[in-house]
Amino acid sequence: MYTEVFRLCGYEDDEIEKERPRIDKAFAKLGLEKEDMARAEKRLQENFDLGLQGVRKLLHVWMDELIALPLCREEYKTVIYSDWPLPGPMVMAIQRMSDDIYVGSIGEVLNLGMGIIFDKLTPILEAGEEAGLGVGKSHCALWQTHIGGITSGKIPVPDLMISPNWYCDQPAHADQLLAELYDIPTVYMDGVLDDQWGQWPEISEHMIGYMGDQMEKCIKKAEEVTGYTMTEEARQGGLQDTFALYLNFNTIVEMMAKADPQPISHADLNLAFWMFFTPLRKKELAMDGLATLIGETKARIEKGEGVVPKGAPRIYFGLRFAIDSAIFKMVEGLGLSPQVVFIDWMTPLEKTPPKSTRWADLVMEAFLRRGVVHSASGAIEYVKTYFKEWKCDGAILCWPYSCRPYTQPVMMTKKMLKEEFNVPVLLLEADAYDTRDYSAGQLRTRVETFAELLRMKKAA
Amino acid sequence: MDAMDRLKTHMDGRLRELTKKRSEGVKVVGYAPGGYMPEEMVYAAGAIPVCLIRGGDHEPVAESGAYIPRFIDTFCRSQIGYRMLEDEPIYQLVDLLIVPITDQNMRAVAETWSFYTDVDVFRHGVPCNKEEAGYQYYLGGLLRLKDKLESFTGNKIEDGKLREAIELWNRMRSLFKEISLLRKGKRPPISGEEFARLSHASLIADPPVFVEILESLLEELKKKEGAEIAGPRILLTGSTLAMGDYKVFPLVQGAGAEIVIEEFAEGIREYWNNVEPNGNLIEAIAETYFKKRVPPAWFSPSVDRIDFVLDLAKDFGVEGILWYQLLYRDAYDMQTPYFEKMVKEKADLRMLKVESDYDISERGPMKTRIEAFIEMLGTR
Repeated sequence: MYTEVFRLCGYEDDEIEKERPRIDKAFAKLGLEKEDMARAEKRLQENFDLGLQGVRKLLHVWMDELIALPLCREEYKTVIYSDWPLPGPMVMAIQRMSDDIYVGSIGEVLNLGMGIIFDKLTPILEAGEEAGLGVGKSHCALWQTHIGGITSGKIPVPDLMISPNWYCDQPAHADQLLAELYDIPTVYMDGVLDDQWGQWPEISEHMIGYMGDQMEKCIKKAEEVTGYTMTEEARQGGLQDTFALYLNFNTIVEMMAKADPQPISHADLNLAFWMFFTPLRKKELAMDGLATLIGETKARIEKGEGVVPKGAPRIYFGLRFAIDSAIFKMVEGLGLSPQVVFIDWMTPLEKTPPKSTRWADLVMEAFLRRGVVHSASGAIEYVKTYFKEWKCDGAILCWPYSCRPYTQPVMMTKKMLKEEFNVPVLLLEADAYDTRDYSAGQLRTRVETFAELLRMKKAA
Repeated sequence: MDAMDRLKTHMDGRLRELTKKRSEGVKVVGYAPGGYMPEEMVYAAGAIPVCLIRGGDHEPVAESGAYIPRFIDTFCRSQIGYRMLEDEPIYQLVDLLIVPITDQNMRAVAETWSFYTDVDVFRHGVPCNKEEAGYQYYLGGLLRLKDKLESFTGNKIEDGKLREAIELWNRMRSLFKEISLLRKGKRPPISGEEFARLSHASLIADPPVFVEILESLLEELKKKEGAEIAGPRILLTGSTLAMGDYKVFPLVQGAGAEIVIEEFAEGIREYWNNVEPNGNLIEAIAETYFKKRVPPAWFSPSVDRIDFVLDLAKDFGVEGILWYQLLYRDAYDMQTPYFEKMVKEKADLRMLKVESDYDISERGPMKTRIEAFIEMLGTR
């Protein structure tokens, strides 16, 4: 029933045959049935450029993860769950401690698999709501999915949860709720963001040091639970896993920012973005997928091919959508070119080596250099740097329904862009992890008018 | 004149007094509630600590929508709205705002004030665990706060002045504790609402004057016998109980019950523990404010809070818990499923959760739910 779906995701027929027992078992646990396959085929064809081999390889990686997640209890000795905003290098380093360990960013895997590919996330979100992250309370949908995956029985109860408690408040509370319900050992990576206004890009050593210590505490707990020891090789591997992916991704981002017309869709690039926070079982395939996509993007630029008309208004687009690629398709379809999206681009500052010497501090310093996670002033300065570098014609900023830290600077950023760059700014209310309260169709009217405004301004 | 009348007179003149002091060059230091900003340090620096604790009005909540998206806790949005509306005078007097960063909602207050106003905003972090590293971080924050206060006021926080301030606040806390404990009896001499108003006044009043009034009040209350509580005794808990947000008290009383004790993260002064006025005073402050303070729901783990509430319920002969939370204060909303389960299992207590966005339209449904809850408790 699912052969075509897997073919579209870059699987060879013999590979599908080989994996069939695992796929059957995983799909049964996830509640994926025959009618879901037709929808997935349609979504894959509509939302992704399947002519790009890089895209197929990235889809392959996510499909692998979706199969591995419900089976992790039977296929691995120890199961550890994490999720954003836990620093990628830490979870990837823990994953590298042994092949016996499964470390999963479960929300991201379910979002990309059950959301983007199958559009069957709602029962999981509802299970999360039922468990305690109630409806209409602006709870993070990523963490509703995180909780709902477990309480719905679709994915197994882990041996350890490593819970981030430093950028947003929801993860630790959600995991605490799970811990109380299922008596799951949980370790919290605490952190405090108390740098002063305007301090970014300087980051206080006390903040880095505290979070570094907390990260080491989590690693120690992972060692206790798994019985394995964190090695220097695993630490460096964790760093390498994250930054190699990010640097390749950034190569495409910069190629796209410079190109006219925009060579590939952000819907396709979206598949790569969410990998930075997710320990992957097939890292090599992910790297290969990105390398292939770099080559394919370059080839399109050389040929002058694009997904939007040449000379289309170029915008900064302030959000990535983990479960719905249709938004990007809609924006691009209306003749706008999202030149840079969310925090995709690394500013020159972010590319300079961190000053910290201890591994954990270095990871945190690199993380906190992302203005958006440091402070509202950091987020505003970050967008300012975008506009100075890339000279966009306008911006579409989004505030997610459920993300308190990310929403804080949005209106401030709009004010800054209007005052300092005199560009039109459209604010949209949406969500990266839950599309039940909005849709691309619903937002289309506002984006359409905005696109017309930008075209007129550009022509004037 | 009895103590409550004296307090009213003092509070009526407090704004004029603050304005006068400020015109004389004394700095007014505003701070966010939550029990993590030691007022003693501000006082010892020769400045006036004033808590930004107004709440319960809808207009500031609506006003905040022009500055920040709506998915922030109601009280925190109000703190933005009151400043921007410019009609709440104390919010305009603040020279320096200190915000202990306890969660993202409180951080939003700091970020918004920094961007939209010319007020100097100082942040100091409150780790959300009670490990030694968390304590050290908090202590480091207090040392940075000390530097900030000294440079901002131009006054050194000397040990002698700090000790005096600690002793003054210790006296205030002890008096509050004594008054609070009077409510254990069958005829509490002070109602829940009166106690909340007293607590709120303490966050704005002149501390020496307030302590003097509190001394007199305690003596008066010791002699007074309140009406016998006929219905269930209620513990009120939640995220924030703001000055002006008293709607639940008449609803509970109207249903025949009485709030005899409360536990809040923000709005009710922490009075259970005093600061040891010896040794390293900043460390002593950190010990009390961070280590001894019952952790609010934003701590992980925060089950200590549940044990504390259960102890309070037992000590005050409580028969039901009223959980009053504000919209989008996520930590509290997410704690209720297991909190409710645990209080039922451990103490056979029933709980009702109500939520507010400071909107008048909530009153009707809230009244019905509270009445039904009290009735249910009465039939047990």
